[in-house]
Amino acid sequence: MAPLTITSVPLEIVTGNILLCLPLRDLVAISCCNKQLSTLCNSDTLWKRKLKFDYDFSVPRNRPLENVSYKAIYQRVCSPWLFVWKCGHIPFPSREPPNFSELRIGARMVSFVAACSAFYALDDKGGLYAWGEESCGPRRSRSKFPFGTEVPSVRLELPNPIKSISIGTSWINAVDSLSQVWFIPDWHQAYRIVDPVLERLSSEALIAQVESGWRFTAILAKSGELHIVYCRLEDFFRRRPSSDCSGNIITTDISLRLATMPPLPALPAIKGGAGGSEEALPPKLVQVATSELIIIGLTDQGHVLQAVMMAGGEPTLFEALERGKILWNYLPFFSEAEKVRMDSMYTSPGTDARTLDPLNYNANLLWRITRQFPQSARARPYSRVVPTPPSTLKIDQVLISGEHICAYSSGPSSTVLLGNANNTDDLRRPKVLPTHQNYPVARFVVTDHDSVFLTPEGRVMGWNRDFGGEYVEEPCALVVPGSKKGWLFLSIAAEGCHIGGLAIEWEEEAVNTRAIAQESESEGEYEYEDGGDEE
Amino acid sequence: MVNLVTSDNESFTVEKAVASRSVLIKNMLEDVGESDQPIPLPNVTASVLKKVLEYCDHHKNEPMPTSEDLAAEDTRKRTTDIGEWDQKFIQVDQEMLFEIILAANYLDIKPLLDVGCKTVANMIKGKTPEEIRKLFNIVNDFTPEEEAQIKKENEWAEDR
Repeated sequence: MAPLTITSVPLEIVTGNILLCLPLRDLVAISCCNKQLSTLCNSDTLWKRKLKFDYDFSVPRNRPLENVSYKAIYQRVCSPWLFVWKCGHIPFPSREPPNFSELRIGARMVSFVAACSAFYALDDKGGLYAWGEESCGPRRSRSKFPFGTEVPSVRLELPNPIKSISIGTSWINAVDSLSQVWFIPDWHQAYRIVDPVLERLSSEALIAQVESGWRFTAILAKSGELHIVYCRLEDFFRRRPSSDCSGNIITTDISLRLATMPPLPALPAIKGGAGGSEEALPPKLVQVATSELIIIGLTDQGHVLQAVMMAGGEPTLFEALERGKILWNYLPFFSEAEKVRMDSMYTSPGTDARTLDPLNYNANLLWRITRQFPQSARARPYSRVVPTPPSTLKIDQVLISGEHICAYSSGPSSTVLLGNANNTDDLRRPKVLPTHQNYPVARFVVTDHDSVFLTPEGRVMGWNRDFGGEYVEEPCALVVPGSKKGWLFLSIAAEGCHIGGLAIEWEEEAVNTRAIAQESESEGEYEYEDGGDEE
Repeated sequence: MVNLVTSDNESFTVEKAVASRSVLIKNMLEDVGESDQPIPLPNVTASVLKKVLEYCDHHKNEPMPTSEDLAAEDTRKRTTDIGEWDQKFIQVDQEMLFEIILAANYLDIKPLLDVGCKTVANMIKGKTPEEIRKLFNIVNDFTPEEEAQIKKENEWAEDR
């Protein structure tokens, strides 16, 4: 009897338990060994599973690809394209710069984040790249992303590979492969935050999320405990190397004190939100979003909470925490289906939907535009659509973009709730825009002038506010200018006046894209100004 | 106690907790109920069963993998890290390694199957095709041109 070897093992074990664990270079080596192993290494079964394991990617059921192997799909997924659109151009995607850019790094991008004047991406080896302008300063006088045919990228070299990044208005926070937290005030210097509590969280890999605020950084532990670090930006700018043209980033340690946020208050059970076993455990924070002074927290059971920080820096914060002046406030209208259903949009059919739009800023302008361009479908008065209210709700994402606070449930029929960070009334009773409800949403983002969502099928749809500040009723698909192909988006991000999407080529020809492009041509006869310049 | 009989007719009497690490045996015991009848294992020889039972005995007090663990299986498979005891346990010749993999598959002992397969994966890592052929006694049935073609087609994956 021949001795046992790898080819004696059942094929499904070789594929599912051995080949699946191997890095690609080893997979190539073993596929060169003989024909049987080569067949296994090229099988759809293997690559379908690798796509799921390596990138959590499955081919959308509604968008199957014919005659394309899973290995070819894997190749596309691990080398995506990064596209950036200027906001205000969703119904009329501009064909030329300066409203659209393709960003490249010559490496395999796996994730990206939008800042108000820049985009940042991580490659598969933890390399950090940036495009745009490094500091946007205060939001009121912010600069915008420099759209163009060639937007050069800058590589920010840090000592260890980076796992995740978060961009505030004034600095970047990064978590590296050793779970160490970095504070990066500009593209020339980076500080490793040193603190005994943080050392423990890092050494045991207990950091769940690091979120850059405007004045502070929030560090969420896997236990649900939230720590705050105040960063005095002026100290760092004082230290900034005067003329470092080498491109190397200067790294050093900095000792910053961590303040711990109070525990969550008693929270009601959210009906229909969480699974049976989940409800038995006390809720814990699993996600936070931050702005200048507000922290929005989300629990594993879908509770949305708010905490208001003290202006005035670290001493004030520590004193306020010690005196119990900073507390979490539960926001039931952001969390519970019964409360959301009470919104006037669902309950009073006579309500003019336009008044429900918190982003509506000039109804008179709408009237003028309608008179001036009666042919423009985009300037038509808003017609009322009342969607079906949610029977159950589990908010699973919270975000703050500019002054917009957004909490939404992802899934086949999403509920999207919007509030204004500068208006506490808005937080008690968020807006439920009829146009936003009940779409299939994997991710939802808000810019200064648009709302955009990624569908589970990898399409990016959005509403571009027209001259009157309204959203058009039906969302339009974002298209890649000059491309006839269908694109499948893996992720999206937005901030300020731009939207980015990480995409792979999908269908050979995109029927929808062409239809939308034609519609744009016929409707876009007049010059469409950038909505972003109106404010 | 449970009585197991191997393909070469050797009999092993072990604690139920040890034998039940095998989902196959556990299900058999549940189906049959309390019984003194020996359980035949026609696909496993005595030398392999002895080794497998050594693993089961060492892990007998650990919780059985739940359906959640199996769902998280994907994450587990991504790394090729093996625990310290398991590493020493699996330091066997190649013939025995594959025997253990086959037995773990037949007896449905997922953690043991994992240890075996991760060990094979670790043996492959960093080797050239020629080294892998030599390691596993694989006959090359490609022409040099065919092999060059495969390498060319997979250039995109080489630096990964």
